[in-house]
Amino acid sequence: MKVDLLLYNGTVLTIDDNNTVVNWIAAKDGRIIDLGCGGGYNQYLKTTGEAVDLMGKTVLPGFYDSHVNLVQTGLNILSLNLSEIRCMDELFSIIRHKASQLPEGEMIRGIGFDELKLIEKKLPNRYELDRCAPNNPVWISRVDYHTSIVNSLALHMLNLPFNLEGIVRDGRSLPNGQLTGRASALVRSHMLGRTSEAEISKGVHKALNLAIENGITSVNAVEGGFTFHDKLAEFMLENKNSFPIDITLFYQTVNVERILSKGLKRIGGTIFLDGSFGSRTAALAEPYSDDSSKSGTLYFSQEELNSFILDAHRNDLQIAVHAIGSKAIEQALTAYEHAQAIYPRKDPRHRIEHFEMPTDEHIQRAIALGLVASVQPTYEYLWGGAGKMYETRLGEARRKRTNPFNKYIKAGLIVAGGSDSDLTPMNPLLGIYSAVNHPTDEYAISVEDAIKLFTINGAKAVFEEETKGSIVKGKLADMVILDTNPLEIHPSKINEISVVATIKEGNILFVR
Amino acid sequence: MLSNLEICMLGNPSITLNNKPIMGSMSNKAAALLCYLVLNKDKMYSRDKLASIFWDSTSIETARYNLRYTLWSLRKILDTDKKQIPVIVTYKDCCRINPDAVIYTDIFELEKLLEENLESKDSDIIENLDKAKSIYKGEFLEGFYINKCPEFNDWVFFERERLQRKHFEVLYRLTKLYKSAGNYFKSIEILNDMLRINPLQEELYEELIKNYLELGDRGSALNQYKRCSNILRDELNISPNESIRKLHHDIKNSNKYLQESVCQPSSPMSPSKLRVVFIDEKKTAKNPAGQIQPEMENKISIICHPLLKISYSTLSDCVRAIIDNFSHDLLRKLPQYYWKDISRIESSAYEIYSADIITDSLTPASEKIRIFAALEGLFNLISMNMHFCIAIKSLQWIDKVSLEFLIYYISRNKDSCISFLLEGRENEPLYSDLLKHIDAEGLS
Repeated sequence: MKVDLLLYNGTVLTIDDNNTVVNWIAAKDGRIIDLGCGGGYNQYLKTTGEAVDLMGKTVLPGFYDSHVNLVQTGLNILSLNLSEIRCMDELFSIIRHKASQLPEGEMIRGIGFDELKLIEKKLPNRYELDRCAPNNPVWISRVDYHTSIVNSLALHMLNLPFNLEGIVRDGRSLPNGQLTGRASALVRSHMLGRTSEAEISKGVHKALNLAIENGITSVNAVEGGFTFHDKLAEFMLENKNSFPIDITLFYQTVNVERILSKGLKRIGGTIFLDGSFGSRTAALAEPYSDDSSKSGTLYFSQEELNSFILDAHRNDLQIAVHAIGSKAIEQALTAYEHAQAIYPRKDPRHRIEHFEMPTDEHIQRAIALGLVASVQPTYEYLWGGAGKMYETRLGEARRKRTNPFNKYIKAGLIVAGGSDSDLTPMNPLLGIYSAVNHPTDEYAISVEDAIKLFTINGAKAVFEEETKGSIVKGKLADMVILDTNPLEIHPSKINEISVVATIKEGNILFVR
Repeated sequence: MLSNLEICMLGNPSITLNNKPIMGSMSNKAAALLCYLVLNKDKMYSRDKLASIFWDSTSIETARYNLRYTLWSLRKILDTDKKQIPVIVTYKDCCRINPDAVIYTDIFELEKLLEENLESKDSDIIENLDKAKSIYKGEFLEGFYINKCPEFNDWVFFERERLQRKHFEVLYRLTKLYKSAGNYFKSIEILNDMLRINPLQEELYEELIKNYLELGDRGSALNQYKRCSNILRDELNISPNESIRKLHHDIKNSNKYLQESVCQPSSPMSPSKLRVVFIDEKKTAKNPAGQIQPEMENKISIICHPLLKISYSTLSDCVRAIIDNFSHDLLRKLPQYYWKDISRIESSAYEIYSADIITDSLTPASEKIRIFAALEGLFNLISMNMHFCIAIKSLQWIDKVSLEFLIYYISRNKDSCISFLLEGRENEPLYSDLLKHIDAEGLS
């Protein structure tokens, strides 16, 4: 039989039910039609469209990234990264330089700005930005996305209503260009709304290329809604069939009718039930260790959340909500239980995104509900462990309770892995490394389990386990080739493994 | 001789002289200078001051030269006839708008109307405010920005805000006046205009809800709450403020608003007893605008689907719509044993009925008898104090048990205040018995 693609002479970790390892795979019409050990591939070798001698390299199922702010990631690639700025002069110089490269009128968008890292410890005002870029609208987003700074031209274009809360004013009662709260939200909405389709497309394709280079063949894109813009979700929806890899859209809204009218099967993503440890807004049972006046924020009342979840659940949607602290997780579980009690559904597979600090009881309740925990192991790599941010915020005892991956897996919870890009890099190998090298030893998981987070469990998290997530006959030929076998390398070296090639439905999309 | 100079600064600016647009023939700075002088027509400006406002970043000598040139070009455009009174009068060191020049600006007209309003009779106020509303075509000098003129641009921000504040005041007063005059539709229209400017202003949604309640339109009032919650959640991730939440809670959990609206004696379509109307769906499809539907505000609509001919499915949808639309306090008046039987066909009944999930096992016949009795009780409860309409579309796809219940209910409750509006294919054998029965009983 003639096949389209033959990979042979390698180590294929199939991630099937028995963790079978084979040496070769044959794909035809986008699907895996045969695989095996030894010389069985010879029957295809002469007639195959493309034969790849793996020369001992390792093949895994194409990676899933189960939580990506894809458009935001793309737009940020196109933006000025201000996260490393250390003084005002440096900021002005970067903006001035950017303005000199752009035609008049084109927007300069800066991201990641954190005045606390500056010597001056203050935000710029619009006059200062005017001097750097008089002919281009400038919009700087603070690192938390909750504060914006614009120059006069941008302020003029925005036409903000005067009675909007959050317009910071100078001594003459004129807007000084700094916008917080509602004003910042509206600015963000206006500015993202003004972003052209061409620019969104450019950003998305850059982000997708990044994903492909990291071996990702399926992405759960969480788009629209609070801190983002529905235009971005609409873009993904309209173009979903034109992307080189599979995009599953999670439209972030609580408007169930809108989702139904678009014929979507899922709702939510980052529907914030609470905030984050970093901003001390993740809802905890006890106050933060470095600020005893704060124990986080619940953004929904239980009644409101119950009503939204029930409405979406009753309309047969898969739901995903963001919950990090134990109080938010409690709230999410209560709402899912409430919906299931009133309207029992078989396998709704609702999700909790992040699920960072559950109690043992929460884990059991999540399992009873058949929930998916959509986790980001790289959080632990960046912020977990002694002396890092989690310890500062939560204290030593509580930081040792975050992201207990091993507990989840042992208890039988479905755990899918993601990056939450642009917050952490879209890099599943780094995610696998982070889960295996968890700073709290007892929560570290095996390499096999860590791979499952980004393959078969990712597929389960969006009901795709019958077609993707493992290398099995009949499934889509989505694969990633690695230069080293992660099962055979020391766990501390997993993040040094390189993606050699990414294959989507039998087509080689990327070769290093 | 007087020139006929008109300057509109609200929305995209326009300048016309003797009805001819002239803005295209002047530079942006010249237009900006003219607008600035006209809005400050009572002031005399030193040339140096104007030069620094409009040519801030250049040397004072160059700025003076630029001002001189711009004033000259303006005079050339504006004073085409030497017999005319000049629009701008210039002196060695200063200049100003000629106090004798007659210049129309939309802003002066708006301000004059608002001043007159203070002295007007109540009956004239609405007319004046409406005029003021129509003059405000957009933000002050919309889309007009002069680079490197920070003082001028700050002046624009200041004026823009001042005028927007006045505009909001006009709109706010209009909604109040229309509301107190009973013109709720107009009040709603203006509130929606205000929301287009600031979609995050919660108190506007609250006013909208109150207007709809005055109209007796509980459904739209609830929808406005949903609209407010959705936008606040999507944009700010917050819940509506306590005052709106309380209002919403009151609407949902009290029958007051429903009863007030339905019991209005003026409602011409309010039937005094059970009524059944059948409409051929072909007629409504051809003429959707002229649908022969009773304009009842308290209506639930159910659509039967071809793939859902499962027993009780239409009744189940009906129960869910009742639970969604009626006060739960009212629904709790139905005995719990009835809710228990209703929960056999619709799980949202557990929102009202909090006892254990049913575990008993009945024969289909006795189950049907109990469910029919419970639904009869429910329908009679909701129609006890008000007329109510249940609209069922695509009746040809109704399941047999639901159809059976309709016949059951109609035969036994001729004094019920429910209207059934049935829409389906004509001559459908499935419900010919029902239609015959309606005719025979004189219920149509």
